[in-house]
Amino acid sequence: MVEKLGIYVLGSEDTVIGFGLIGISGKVVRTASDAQRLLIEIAQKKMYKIIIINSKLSGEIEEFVENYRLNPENPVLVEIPDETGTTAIYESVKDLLKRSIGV
Amino acid sequence: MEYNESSFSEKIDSLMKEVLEDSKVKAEELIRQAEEKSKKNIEDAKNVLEMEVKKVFETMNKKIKRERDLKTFETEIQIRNEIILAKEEILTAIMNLIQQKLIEFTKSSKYKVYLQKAFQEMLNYLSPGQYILYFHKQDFKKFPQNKLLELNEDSTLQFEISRSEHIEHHGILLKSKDERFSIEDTLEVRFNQKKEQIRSKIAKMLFKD
Repeated sequence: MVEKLGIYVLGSEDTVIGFGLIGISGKVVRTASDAQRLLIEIAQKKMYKIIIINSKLSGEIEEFVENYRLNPENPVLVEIPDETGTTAIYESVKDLLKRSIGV
Repeated sequence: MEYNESSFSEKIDSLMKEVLEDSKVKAEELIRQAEEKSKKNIEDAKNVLEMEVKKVFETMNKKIKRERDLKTFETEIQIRNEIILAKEEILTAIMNLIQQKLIEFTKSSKYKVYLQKAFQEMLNYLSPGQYILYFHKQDFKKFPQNKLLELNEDSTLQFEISRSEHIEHHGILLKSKDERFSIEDTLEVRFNQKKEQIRSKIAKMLFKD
């Protein structure tokens, strides 16, 4: 279902694992050049509408990101802060569900 | 006075020469002045033209800058809107995934305990009478029916499980036999009640906004 929605994650291991736990796929990226290469590849594949990216990583390729965003054919880049681990978010959501729904 | 024709002619020649010299000087002066004036006029015209061109360029540059600023602003707004929509889509996807996980939960052994607990909670709201329990068609076998038999023997509360009618969601719908009273406790109802709260908490955690 999420594949159809077309969301992909690029970022730290923690971010990719966190989104993976809820079913959104992605790839761990460690260097700015890898991030640029993957962003170009993903845009060419035209499979994803949205790419979630750690803000630290996108900050390292700021100029590239600005130009990438100017092309309406490219997926929309959504930056998420990386100071909070996404697996921690997953645990919080689980806890939230337990408290509010009881499961 | 002695008249000498040749000296008179010489005098005339000399005078004419003088007049010609004067005229030449005056003519040269006039030409020089005319040239200077024309040069000045050309210079003035050139300056005026240059200023006009400069003005046109300045106005054009201002217009181009304004257009460019406007375009940049519009692009920025468009990108910002796209990001907002994308964030909404991410949240919707996450909420759908949570709902999927809830459905997966109904296939786990923990769900039986959940049903039992939900029923136990319902008992606190019931007055003596006869009640019918409705389940999702995949659920009613998961509910411990011996528990109902025990309750039916010992209390003023009488229960039966509807086998012909089912509910669409996972959980329990309890109705009094006269249909005057009903309680619905399904995962969907619980989830929908907390949906916005969960969504906004996820948004805060994920996007810090």
